[in-house]
Amino acid sequence: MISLSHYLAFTLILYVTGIYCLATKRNMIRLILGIEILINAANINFIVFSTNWKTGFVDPFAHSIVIISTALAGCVSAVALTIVVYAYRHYGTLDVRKLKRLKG
Amino acid sequence: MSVDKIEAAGLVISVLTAAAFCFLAFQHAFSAFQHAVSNENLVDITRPIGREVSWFMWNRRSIDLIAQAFVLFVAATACLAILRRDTREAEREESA
Amino acid sequence: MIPYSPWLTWLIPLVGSLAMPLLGKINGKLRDWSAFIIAAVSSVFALSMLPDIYNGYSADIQVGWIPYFNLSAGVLVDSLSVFMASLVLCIGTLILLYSIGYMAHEEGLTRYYFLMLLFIGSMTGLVMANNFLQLYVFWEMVGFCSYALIGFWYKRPEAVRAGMKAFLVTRVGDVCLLLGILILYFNTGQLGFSSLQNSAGFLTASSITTISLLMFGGAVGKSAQVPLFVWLPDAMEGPTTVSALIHAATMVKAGVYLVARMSMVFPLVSTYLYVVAGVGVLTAFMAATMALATFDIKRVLAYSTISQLGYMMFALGLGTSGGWFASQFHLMSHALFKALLFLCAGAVIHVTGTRDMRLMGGLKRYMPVTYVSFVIGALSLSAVPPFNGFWSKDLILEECYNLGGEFGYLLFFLGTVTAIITVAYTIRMLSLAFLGEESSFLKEKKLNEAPKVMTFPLVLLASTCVLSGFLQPFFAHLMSQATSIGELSFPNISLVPLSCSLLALVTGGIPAYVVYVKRSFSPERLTQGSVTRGVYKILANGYYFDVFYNRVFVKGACRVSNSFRKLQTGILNINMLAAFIGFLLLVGLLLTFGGIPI
Repeated sequence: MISLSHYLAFTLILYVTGIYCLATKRNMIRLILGIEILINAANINFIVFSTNWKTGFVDPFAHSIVIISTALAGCVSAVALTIVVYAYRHYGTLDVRKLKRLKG
Repeated sequence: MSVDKIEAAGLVISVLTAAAFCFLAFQHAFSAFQHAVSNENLVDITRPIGREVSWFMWNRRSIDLIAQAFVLFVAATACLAILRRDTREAEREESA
Repeated sequence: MIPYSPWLTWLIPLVGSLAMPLLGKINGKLRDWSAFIIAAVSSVFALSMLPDIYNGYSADIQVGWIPYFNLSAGVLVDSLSVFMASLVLCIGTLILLYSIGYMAHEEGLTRYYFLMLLFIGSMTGLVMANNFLQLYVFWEMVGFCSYALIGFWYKRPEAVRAGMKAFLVTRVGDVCLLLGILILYFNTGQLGFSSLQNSAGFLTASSITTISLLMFGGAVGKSAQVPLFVWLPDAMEGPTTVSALIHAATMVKAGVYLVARMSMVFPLVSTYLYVVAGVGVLTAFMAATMALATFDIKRVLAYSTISQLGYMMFALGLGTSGGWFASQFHLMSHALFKALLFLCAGAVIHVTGTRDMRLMGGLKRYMPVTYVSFVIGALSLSAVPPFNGFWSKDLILEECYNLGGEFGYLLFFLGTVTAIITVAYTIRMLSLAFLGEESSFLKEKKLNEAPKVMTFPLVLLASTCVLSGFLQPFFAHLMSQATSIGELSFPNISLVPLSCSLLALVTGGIPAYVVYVKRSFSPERLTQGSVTRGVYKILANGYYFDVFYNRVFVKGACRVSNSFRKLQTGILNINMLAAFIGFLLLVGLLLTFGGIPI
């Protein structure tokens, strides 16, 4: 029997993976994938909570939210990829550690 | 081969955090359900969930429409942005 | 009263300001004139309320705003608010008319007219508001507009700096005001002026003192009183029309309005009154002395504004109904003659292209209309009898004298000394700019009178400066209506203050006349002696307030932020890693303190 705690542990680990990706990877496209992982962790959490709230019942609202959220995640990554293409044109690199114009 | 310091630190911290999270998840029961608002739209799992959820979404299609409008708008903007020729690039080509 | 005029009078300029970008797309001339027309229409609405107020009408119109917090928005129609609104709108209208000529050759005029209308509209909204929160919202809008207009010439670094300085210095006061409002709200649960009048008795004396002192802090920032006056002289970097608007109608008058309103809402506490009067009289004196050592014509006017605001403040600090009335009367006089003086100075700057009075001189021959208007304004400022400045300033001094006691006589003495200095610097300014021989700088220029659209407001304002002093009985009747101050008791014109203020005219006037008009004694020789040179240096540096603020706050903030500079590597990964560590710490905290605290 997989309990709520197992699911929660799974989504939290997924979340940590996403942040790990954001914190260590240099390639901008990988960063976008990291963001996708973060969004998916949140989505799975939604579904998990909707099925575990009252035994024997499912909350349909969470499902609709997740469907919208998936579509939005696609959008976000599309926009992010556009920005990546622009950044590549502008700086000639995909390495985020080389974009240091905000350095104090 | 030199080790990337950020990579190493990130790995250590992520393992630590994952462990801490697992500990948290198994040690303490999730207690926020008591704050959940009661909802009459709950679907009994003995009934066909897919159809019920679709029905629910169809009844509230306005939310979905907003999201879709956003998707369309952003997709259009992103496509325009990515397909537009860089002005500086164009100048460079013209001058060449 | 035209229906809905309490609302329309401030909504028209606010909404009209949004039309400026649209009209600016169509035609520049259309935009300029429609800005003027919008202001004129709303001033008609404001003026239409005056007869009703005169006959004793007053209202507190409320609409729901945030029911959860027991707050309602609304307008308060009483003599103070309607008087202020009419003054702001009429002077704003004249200034907008003037700027059609003055700003004609500038860039970015859409922004200019948008901000001017927004400025006028927010100030009118500020005085019409019926509760402290609404007042605070407009208060901040006024602050923003002044920031944007002082820095109007954004390509000049001094202008940008001055705008930021104005914003940051007044912010110190704004925070005080907000704190005062919050303390008031948590103590009484309401912010409306009329409801507070009934419930202010529940407050203890000490909390009233705290609240009113904090709110007075806001007024100190906005009205450029002593510790926080440094922004106003620097604000002269903006266009002259903006300075005229800031000084005559909007912005600095907001602080005086707030203090006047507070003395209607709260019971007055003696500590608070001492602070208000002390700060006011100190400001009046210090600013007047600083004006003696300045060569920038606009800065002299700025210091004189600070000084006159000091007069209004200490008249309010007397705590008597006569003092309250005198300060409002002086506010009206000051608005008229200071608008006039600024617009004249603007005409001079427009023609000569400089603000330094040492480079002017002899302009009397070339600009007769401006000269005559400036003389009238100067006579009002130095309180020469038939002009309006005399009536109001004399009333303030009389009130001090009648208050009696050591404090009253001290105020009276300092006020008279300030009047002497005022006469001296006014004559100095007038003579340096208009009399004598023209400087070599001006000889190369073709000098002529400013265009008609600019001289018309001058003539109009000059005539009101002559006339408005005689309206005192009407004004007194107007202000005594519908305020809690009650019927004003007029002090009989007593001989001592009157003769003192006339004596002040002579004592200040004769030395200044000898030195600056006759020029029989070179003013440079005054600064030769070691003591006088030291005094002159202190005055020219504005009592070193600026230096002190620069050393302590500006440099200090720079040092602190420099020490944090290394943290900003600009690398995304490191920033994310820091967030990650914070995450871990949070989870650690949750674990040590036993789970999620729900």
